[in-house]
Amino acid sequence: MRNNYDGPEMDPVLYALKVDGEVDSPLTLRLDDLRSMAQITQTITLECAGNGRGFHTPKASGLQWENGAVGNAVWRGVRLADVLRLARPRPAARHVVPDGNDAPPTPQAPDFIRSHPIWKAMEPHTLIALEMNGRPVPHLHGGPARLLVPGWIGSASLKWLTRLTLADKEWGGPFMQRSYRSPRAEDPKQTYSLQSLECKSLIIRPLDGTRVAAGPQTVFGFAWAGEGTIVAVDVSTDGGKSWVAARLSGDEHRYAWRRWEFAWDAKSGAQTLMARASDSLGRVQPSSRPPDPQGYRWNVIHAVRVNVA
Amino acid sequence: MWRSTAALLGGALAVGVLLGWAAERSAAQNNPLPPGKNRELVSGRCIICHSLEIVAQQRQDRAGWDVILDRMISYGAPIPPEDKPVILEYLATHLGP
Repeated sequence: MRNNYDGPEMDPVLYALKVDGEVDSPLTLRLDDLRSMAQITQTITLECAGNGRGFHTPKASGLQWENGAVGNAVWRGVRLADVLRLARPRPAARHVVPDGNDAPPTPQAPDFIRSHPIWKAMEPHTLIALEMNGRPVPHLHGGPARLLVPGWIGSASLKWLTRLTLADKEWGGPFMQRSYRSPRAEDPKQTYSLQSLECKSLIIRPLDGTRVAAGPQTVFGFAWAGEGTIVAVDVSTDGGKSWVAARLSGDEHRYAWRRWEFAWDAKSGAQTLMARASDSLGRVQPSSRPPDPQGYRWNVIHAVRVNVA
Repeated sequence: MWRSTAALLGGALAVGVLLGWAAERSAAQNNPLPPGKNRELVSGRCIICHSLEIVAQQRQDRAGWDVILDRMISYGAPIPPEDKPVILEYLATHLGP
C-alpha cells in the first residue's frame, strides 16, 4: 500500500461526495445514496507506477520499490459514469478532477490531485468502490469510498474520494504536470502523463535466490497488461536463448492479473528462469528500459536465479 | 511510609530515566541515514514530513539532490536558507550515486 499523503479515518455516517464544476445539477451524495445505486463487482489489479523503481539505472528518485507494489482484489461499487450522469455534465466537461480526504504535511505542499479524461471516467469498468473482497473498503485502502480506474497506474485510483469536479481541461497541479510522467520515446526532453500500465509478468515460484529440488515441478506467476489483455507468457530456462509457452491457468478478468504455470524439469546446478508476457496491444516485455528520471513502470523481463540440488 | 513512597518514586524515576535513555539510544541506532557530519540536523528537518528510510534509499548526485531539496522547500519543508547548503553537503557526500 502506498499513499502520497495520509488522512484521518472517515465516519461512514458523515461521509459525503460532492459532484460539481461543469454540470447542470451539482449534487452531494451520502454513502447510502451510493449504496442504493446499481452495484457492479470486478476483480482488478492495482500497481503503483513506481513498482520496480529500484531496478532503474541511472538511479531514479522516489521509493525504491522492487516487485511488491502490486496487488489484486475483488472490488464492488457504483459505476463512476452513473454518478457523473446524475449531475448532468455539460458539453464543456472534458476531464474529471477527483479530490480526496487526505492532507499534505504542510500547508504549502500541493493537494494530491490527478485528473482523468472524461472517456476513461465514463468507461463502464471505472468504479467508485464501496467494498473490497466482500467487506467495506478499509480506511487503509481508501474507504469508505475510493476511485478505481482499472488498467491505469495506481495513483489514478484516488483513495478517500470526497469530490468530483468536472472541468474543461486537465488538472494543472504538480501531481499531474510534474509527477507520473515519463520521457517521450521520440523526444526524451518532452514528457507525457502516464495512463495505462505496461505489459508485465512476475515469477512467484520459485523465488529468486532459493534452493530448489531437482526434477519436475511447477513454475508459476502472474501477468497483467493495463489496458491490454495478456495473450501469452513465455518462459526461458536458458538465459533467453529459447522460449516455451506457459499455460495461462487462472481466471480471465478484464483488468485483472492472469495466473500462468510452466512445467519445469529442473536440472542440478545454478539455473535462471525468465518469464516474458505479451498482450493484445502487441506489446512484449522488453529486455531493457530507457532511462526514466522518476523511475516509472518498470517491466523488464523478470529473471530468478535458483540453485537446483 | 513516606520513606517507602520516596523509594518507590525514586525507583520509578530511575527506571523512567533509563527507559528514556534506552529509547534515545535506540532511536540513534535506528536512524537509517549514514553517520556523518550534520546527520542529526538533516534527520530533524526531513522527518517532520516523511520517514528517513525514503531519504536513505536515494542515490543522487549533487545536482539531483539540489532539485529534490528545492522541491521540498517549495512544499513547505522547514529549512531556513542557511541550512540548505549544509543539508545538501551531507546528502551529496553520503548518499551519492
